[in-house]
Amino acid sequence: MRKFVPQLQNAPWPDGARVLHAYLVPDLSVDHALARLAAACREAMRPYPITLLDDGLLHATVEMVADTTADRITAAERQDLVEALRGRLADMTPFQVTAGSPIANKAGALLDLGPDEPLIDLKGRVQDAFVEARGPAVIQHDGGRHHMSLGYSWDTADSDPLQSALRKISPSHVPFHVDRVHLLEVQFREHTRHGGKSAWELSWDPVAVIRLGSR
Amino acid sequence: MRDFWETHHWPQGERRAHWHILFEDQPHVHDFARAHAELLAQYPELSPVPVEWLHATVQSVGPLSPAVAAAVADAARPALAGIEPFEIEIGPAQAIHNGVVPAIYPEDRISELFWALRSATERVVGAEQLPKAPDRFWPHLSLAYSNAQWDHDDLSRALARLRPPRPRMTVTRAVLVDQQQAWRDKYTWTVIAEVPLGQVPTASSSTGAATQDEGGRG
Repeated sequence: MRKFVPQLQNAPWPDGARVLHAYLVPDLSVDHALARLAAACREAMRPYPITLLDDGLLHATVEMVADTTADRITAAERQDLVEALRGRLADMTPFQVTAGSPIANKAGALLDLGPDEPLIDLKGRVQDAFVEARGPAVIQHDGGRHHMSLGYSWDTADSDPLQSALRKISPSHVPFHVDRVHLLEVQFREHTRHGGKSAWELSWDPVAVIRLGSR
Repeated sequence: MRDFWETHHWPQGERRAHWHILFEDQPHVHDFARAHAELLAQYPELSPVPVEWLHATVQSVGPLSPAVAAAVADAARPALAGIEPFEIEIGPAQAIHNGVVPAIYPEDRISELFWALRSATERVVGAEQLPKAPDRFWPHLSLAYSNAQWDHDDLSRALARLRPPRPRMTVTRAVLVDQQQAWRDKYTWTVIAEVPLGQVPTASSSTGAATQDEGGRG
């Protein structure tokens, strides 16, 4: 793994910048097995240079509002985003995917999410809503494989032993129920670590919650 | 990624019995493997597993005489009679320290199969014949073995972009095979015995040394 550096508009994230994102945030009062899997993964990841995401920061990125930073998006424009999301998600049925296997990657570790179909459908709807509200420049990133982030690496390390530790976790695949999308103001800040290192750390403030299948 | 074959080098000509789950009648598993074939073939550092030799090792046993192999199979029959066939799902493929593997899950039933086979085999050959028991069984199959020490970041990224549907199947049997290694290439085998799950053995289901299947699998 290598140090994770978040990206905005295909460049390193400006320290402290806030950007609106659509995230899936698990309800761990429902998905108990997911909570246990994430906790077990965190234990496996603890010896590594990874900033662990606690239960309150677990998420799967659906899409980001990448045309500008959140401070430049007015209250009225945010309401446009919310209304567009409500419209596009009103006839979408809540669904369940499988979270797992846990996978060590260059940015830390994640839970793969599958099957793809409902997640592709959801992402397409969210993208359509963002474009409807703000125009095509709002989509600027390829989110890659659908995943739930578990932590972000802040230094270089060999991922192989972490992968070996992660594969000892059982059950390695658990249900993840998706019934809402969170619109959030996401911030990454670079914090100093020991040895002259620094780590990008995530936080967010809620903007709106849009339930699937709710008008 | 490290060299799988450096730590898995059998003496020339040695054959070792293994308990496997096999996939020769599972076209969705073949499709899953084939969906990765073009990518894996781009890396000379990998030895991809041919579709006809896909397997999930449940328990490595070691060299056995035909009579002992038959006794192992017969010991497994009553042990597996109490395990009903079960569903598994396979994927996603990931690069690990010595190859490319998808996990198999859920782990509970297949782990039950592992411990039943291990216990039955141990009663015949003795615990010292078998590899040390793991704390936890890790169900998986291999799509490719690494044949070098190399940086596999590009492969990991490419695997993340490949997302073939994860195949599901019902495990209905365990297969005892007489396996040989083509070093730095692949494993092949002939079938010694197939032991069904959830079926009470009858007198006619006994393996017997003389009934060893030499037909193998293609």
